[in-house]
Amino acid sequence: MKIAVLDLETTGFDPRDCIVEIGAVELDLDSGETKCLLNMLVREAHFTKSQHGRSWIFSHSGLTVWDVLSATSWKNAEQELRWVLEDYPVTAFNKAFDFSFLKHRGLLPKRTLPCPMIEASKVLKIPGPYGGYKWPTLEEAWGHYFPGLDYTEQHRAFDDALHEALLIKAMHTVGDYNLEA
Amino acid sequence: MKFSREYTKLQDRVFSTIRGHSYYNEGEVIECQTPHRVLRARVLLKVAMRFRNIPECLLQYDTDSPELSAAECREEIRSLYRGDPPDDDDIMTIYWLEKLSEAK
Repeated sequence: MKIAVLDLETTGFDPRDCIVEIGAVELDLDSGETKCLLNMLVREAHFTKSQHGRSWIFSHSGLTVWDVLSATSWKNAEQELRWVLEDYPVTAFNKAFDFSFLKHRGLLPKRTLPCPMIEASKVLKIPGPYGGYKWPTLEEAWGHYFPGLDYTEQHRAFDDALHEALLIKAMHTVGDYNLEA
Repeated sequence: MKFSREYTKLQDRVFSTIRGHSYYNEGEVIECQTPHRVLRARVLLKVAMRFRNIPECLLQYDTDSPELSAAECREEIRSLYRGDPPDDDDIMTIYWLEKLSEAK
């Protein structure tokens, strides 16, 4: 079964903030084959240097404001994103976050899959500050399934999506990621 | 599966290796041959991707070279191929293997 793993880089946590980069990876859960579906910088119409130039993403990744200012328009990116959302069952690490941005823009996948972050939290069982289990970061989940492989999240959409795809493949292989969950 | 030297990763219970083929399947038990020993290992996980997309941490682990960049690691891997070294666009397979026993 082929699925798409999506990752968005944004200027904030609110869906009204800007999407600045889209990454998507096709993962064949049976063969383990991966393929780049989307790896693009985008400029939404409401992105401005003055309003978004100090966003966290620009000080915690290789992304620059200038990359975004010279990126393809949201209108062009949206069409490519729409094809992925129509053609594949889709998930994302912290699916609720990424999908909230899609929903705000009138986009949602035809078929969604369980969130690997939620599924991983049941396995990692990291105590949360208010009881229960906390949601693991991608690095924490990676460290559980790939011990010894030091990974620092780049906060670049394609690179993150690729690591998420590998994580999902590992979780699925050991029975920790059920497509029907 | 041949290893050209005694890589540090071969001391780990589970280790990964990057190959230009996809002969082996998940669950299969294979022999890993180093210059000095033979290990039996089970294929736990198999993924495939373009050489250029393989994450840096995997490339560094594979080559025992945490100080090298991804591009340098790919060059290191290419140097191990005698005939037809992989291009960045070639599809490579990454196997995760679980060591079962040492045959000799």
